[in-house]
Amino acid sequence: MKPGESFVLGVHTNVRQGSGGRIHLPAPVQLLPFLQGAPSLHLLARAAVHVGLYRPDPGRIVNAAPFLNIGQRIREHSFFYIREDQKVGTGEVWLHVKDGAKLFDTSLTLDNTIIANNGASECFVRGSVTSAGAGNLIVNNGSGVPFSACPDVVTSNDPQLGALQLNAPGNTPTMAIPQTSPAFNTADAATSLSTDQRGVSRPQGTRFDIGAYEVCVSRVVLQCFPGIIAPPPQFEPLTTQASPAAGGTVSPPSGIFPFNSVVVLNATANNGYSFVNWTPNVAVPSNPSTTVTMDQPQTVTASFAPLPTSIFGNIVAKSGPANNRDWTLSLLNNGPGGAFTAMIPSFTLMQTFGAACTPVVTNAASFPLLVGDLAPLQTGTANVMLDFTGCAATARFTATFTYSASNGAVSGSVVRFNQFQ
Amino acid sequence: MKTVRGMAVAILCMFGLCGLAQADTLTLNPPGGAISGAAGTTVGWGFTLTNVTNFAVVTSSDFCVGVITSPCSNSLGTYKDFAGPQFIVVGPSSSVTQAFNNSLLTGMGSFLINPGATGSVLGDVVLTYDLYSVSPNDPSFLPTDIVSLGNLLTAPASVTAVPEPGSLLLLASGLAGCLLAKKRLPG
Repeated sequence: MKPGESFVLGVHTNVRQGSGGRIHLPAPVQLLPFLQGAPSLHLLARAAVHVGLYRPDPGRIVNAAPFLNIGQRIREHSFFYIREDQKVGTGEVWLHVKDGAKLFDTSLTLDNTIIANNGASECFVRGSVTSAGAGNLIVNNGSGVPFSACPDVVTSNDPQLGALQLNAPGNTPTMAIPQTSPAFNTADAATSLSTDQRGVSRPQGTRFDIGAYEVCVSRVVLQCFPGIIAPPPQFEPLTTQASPAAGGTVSPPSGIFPFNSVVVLNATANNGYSFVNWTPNVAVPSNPSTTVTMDQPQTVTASFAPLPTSIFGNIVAKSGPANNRDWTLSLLNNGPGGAFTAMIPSFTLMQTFGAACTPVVTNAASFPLLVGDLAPLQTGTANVMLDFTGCAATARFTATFTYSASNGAVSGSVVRFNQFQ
Repeated sequence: MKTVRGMAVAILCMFGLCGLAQADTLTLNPPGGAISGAAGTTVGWGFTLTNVTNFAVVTSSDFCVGVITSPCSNSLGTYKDFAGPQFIVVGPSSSVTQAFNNSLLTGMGSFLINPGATGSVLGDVVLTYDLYSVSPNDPSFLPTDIVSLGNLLTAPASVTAVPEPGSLLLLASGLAGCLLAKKRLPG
């Protein structure tokens, strides 16, 4: 800790995302100046961040929060300043609490605040700090020396923040959360404020939400925003997925979409697969390009099926000394389907000529030999290691190996006579 | 000597010329590879395999309709490999000819036409063979005398299931009956 520095609250700001909200210093200060001064600032507390600088006589708050501003030294109250290393992109915003050469104990109270999407240790305290709070969502809390974690985290799950934008009826940007967010209904009631950043009453429903945005749970928007004529945006979560995952890709990716919006879905089959259908609730299930109406949370699945295929197996190379002979077995996928997780489960040699001997498969423990995924017209190989010690050069064998792929949907055997070691 | 030969072959292959040096051919007997038989009977192919350079050792044969798979299959019957289990070695600039004989198990292979089968299938006889720089029958042969393994030759082939004699007799009787009935019709 630097001389005279009694407290540092650090918030990384690597990504332009945040929860939206307002920071309350002992005398409440609206968030708006923060947003205007540092749009990349991520400590956007819905409820309250109380930063108190206490003189030795307990409880006496001496800071001058109303003058606090980003990147500006508060000369009138020289014990405060905020240093902003970089406004946008990578960097950090630190709030230093100093009093010249004097050392004071400080306290941090962090209530019902979302800190997310800023990378590792996105919230930390350092120095002689008494931390307290309730109901916080911090995805990557501070850790390690000399930093300590911010207090009272109730969940570290992804808050599913929407884009930073004006959400009615607010006149400052906020990030909406869906009802599936871990911030929904999980704030501490005792410390929650009576309205969110937009002015919407809290709670909507029975419990308070963490962050700057209180989710309206009623379909009748006027119940959420009395006096507001224009309907506010509502969001519903959409989950899009492909089954099997290797079968193809879907768009758009999962996310939240305005209530009652019509989202265009596209399914694209990977090589070796064909599109089957969408399920459920889409306009045309059999069409890879269709739509879904976001009148409720939706989970839509595009199903894909592997195209039929066949395989030709062969023995294509042999090398190495007799006691460590390396035979290369090949599998050619004829297509048009893919051959997935192609493998060679067994390999046998039967002697047909020469003095009797017993070749040993030395990599038997590696069976089934994995060839891998084979695209149409792709050839893959696997190697079987053999010890022909004691076998004459002219000894002949019949080699047989089996293959399978795509969970046994494709299988067969390969027989090659007159094989020399 | 063998080493020199092997090196020469390796150099040819390095420049992609080993394939050009070979112009090995497979022809079937009957020519064109079209065979036929009654349902439930066994038919088959003879063959002539001509090798240009090195020593070809036959390792398998199959009858494939459409793409070559392991093993091949078809709707008309079952192929049995005769050439593979034999030890057929064809030296440079020479050929081997075998007639089909279902008792001696010679020729390319047999085809058992399914009982009740009708129609025909068109495909290819597929032969696999390995090439060695030294004859495997030479006492100095070593397994390392490999030129190339898993080579393929194909020849067009087809199998047709012809009606059995009993069926022909039945057909003839039916036709005769029709003619007789027509004669007896007034006018």
